[in-house]
Amino acid sequence: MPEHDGNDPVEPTDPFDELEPIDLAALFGDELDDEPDDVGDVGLDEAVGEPDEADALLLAQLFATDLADEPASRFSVADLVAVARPADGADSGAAAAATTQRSAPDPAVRRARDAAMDEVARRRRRRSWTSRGLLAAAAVAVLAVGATAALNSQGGSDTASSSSSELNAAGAVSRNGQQAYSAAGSSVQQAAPAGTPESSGAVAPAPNAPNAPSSGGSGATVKSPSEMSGGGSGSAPDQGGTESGSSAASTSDSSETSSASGSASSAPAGTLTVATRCQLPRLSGAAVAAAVGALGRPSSVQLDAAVDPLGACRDQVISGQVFVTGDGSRLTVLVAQDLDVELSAGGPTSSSGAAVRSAQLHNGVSRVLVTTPAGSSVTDRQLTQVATAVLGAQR
Amino acid sequence: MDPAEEAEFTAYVESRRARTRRTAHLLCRDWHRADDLTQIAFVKLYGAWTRIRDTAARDSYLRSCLVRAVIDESRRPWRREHDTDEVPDGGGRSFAPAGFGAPAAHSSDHAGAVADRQVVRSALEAIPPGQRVILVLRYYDGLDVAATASTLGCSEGNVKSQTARGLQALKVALGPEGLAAFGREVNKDA
Repeated sequence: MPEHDGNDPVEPTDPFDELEPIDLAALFGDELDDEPDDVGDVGLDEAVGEPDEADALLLAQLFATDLADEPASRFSVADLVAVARPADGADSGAAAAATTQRSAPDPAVRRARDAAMDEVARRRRRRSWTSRGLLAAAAVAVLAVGATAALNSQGGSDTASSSSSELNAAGAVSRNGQQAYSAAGSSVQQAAPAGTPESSGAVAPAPNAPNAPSSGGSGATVKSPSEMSGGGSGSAPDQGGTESGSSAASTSDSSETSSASGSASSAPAGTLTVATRCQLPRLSGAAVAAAVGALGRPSSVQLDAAVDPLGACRDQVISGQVFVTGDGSRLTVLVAQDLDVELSAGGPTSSSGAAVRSAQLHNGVSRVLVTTPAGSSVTDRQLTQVATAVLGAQR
Repeated sequence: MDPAEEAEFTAYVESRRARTRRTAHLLCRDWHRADDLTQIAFVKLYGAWTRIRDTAARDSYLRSCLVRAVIDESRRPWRREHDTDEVPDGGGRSFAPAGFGAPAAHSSDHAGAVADRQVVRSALEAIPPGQRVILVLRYYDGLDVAATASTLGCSEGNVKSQTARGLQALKVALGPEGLAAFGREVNKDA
């Protein structure tokens, strides 16, 4: 038999053949039949095996009724296409090479394909590290702000009106060589949900690369309450090299702007509002649970049954004034300190003293946006707790 | 996939998304999960897009992927949990925290619609998964016996018998009042 020379055309496989067979026994159980029996013929036209018209009408009515309250999809067409599309760079290279490979798998094509796949893997690895660095940066930012808030609070200069559910921050502590934000107080000591990565929800180690310290850039923009933004990116050593990152942190008020890096920045008391924004690969239920746990002293909870990404943690998030709802393309998590929080059709609103935090779940990439409403002064420390817990649980 | 194929795929997604999502909902009984399953199905279709030229075959492939995704997802441990949290005003599209636990004030028509939906949902959930899949494929997607059997990879005889049993189970679950509400004679088949 002649050896394959690598140039023979190869018939493309039938996509249908690639589908795994359905486990019919599991699907139908003991009722799996090969032939209709007497009972099975009920409602069927004996001649053609088609359902009778009345049954078809009934089913049509039932399905229409069931579908009557169809909500908007979480995913747009662009989302679906974007998710289906291979990672950046994979399409033109790897896919094209793979297509060619089916008809002419010569060494040159194989090399092109391998190179394309390597490139894809490298980019994915870079994105992974960039994401980790980003998490690290965000964690450092919230730690810094949290420490500032704690200092302000201890010094009595913070004009924030303490809430009954406010957390008692103990400051920053060291854990495994990493800075972590720790909070002590009855309100944050609630038992964590089983299976939640961060058990207390209040202490979360800073994201770090395994076996190697990540040098994360940090960024947090502290602005007037009406406008919040933040962000950062970091770098972490890769196995094959070092990825670069950037860091930025600034404090700005209406009249002045200052910069800082990796350290707490002071802001006028009473106007400290922080937004920690970070790109996460996916907002996990555990992260939400940890955020809830970090808030402490919850009294009630209402979860939208439609919010299934919470999945397994649904039953774990059973105590907390957490309002989770899905409004089309967005998963909104509202965490309120008091009950005078209202949800408007256009988005979350809050009355004075309530903290509103929203987490957007979009196209598999979550953006956790933690905000406090203008004038709110009770949530700065909690905010750091939530953000830290989310980040910790997300890892 | 070149730009032209990409555009073709996008157009296909646009034309099939809503229908696929509704089918997914009927199969899994959860809109949120239906979104995920729809996405899974389209992702799989994307991978085979260039190898399936016929539109009907694409529909069939998409449907097959969806059914498999529904079955696969239903096996996952966390899917076995029974969701008990219900938003009182249904669907969770809007709610006011102040109204927690208290039934919302509905007009009589709205209340009737909600009641109907509840009856329908209870009945549909009472049907065994396999029978539900077949009923959805046949009565919602409009597949005939042969196409349904092909989609599921089972015999046509099985499709026929499961169709009949599913109908029977549905009518039993609806009960006389439910059937009467939908204009069916109570004692005809149930």
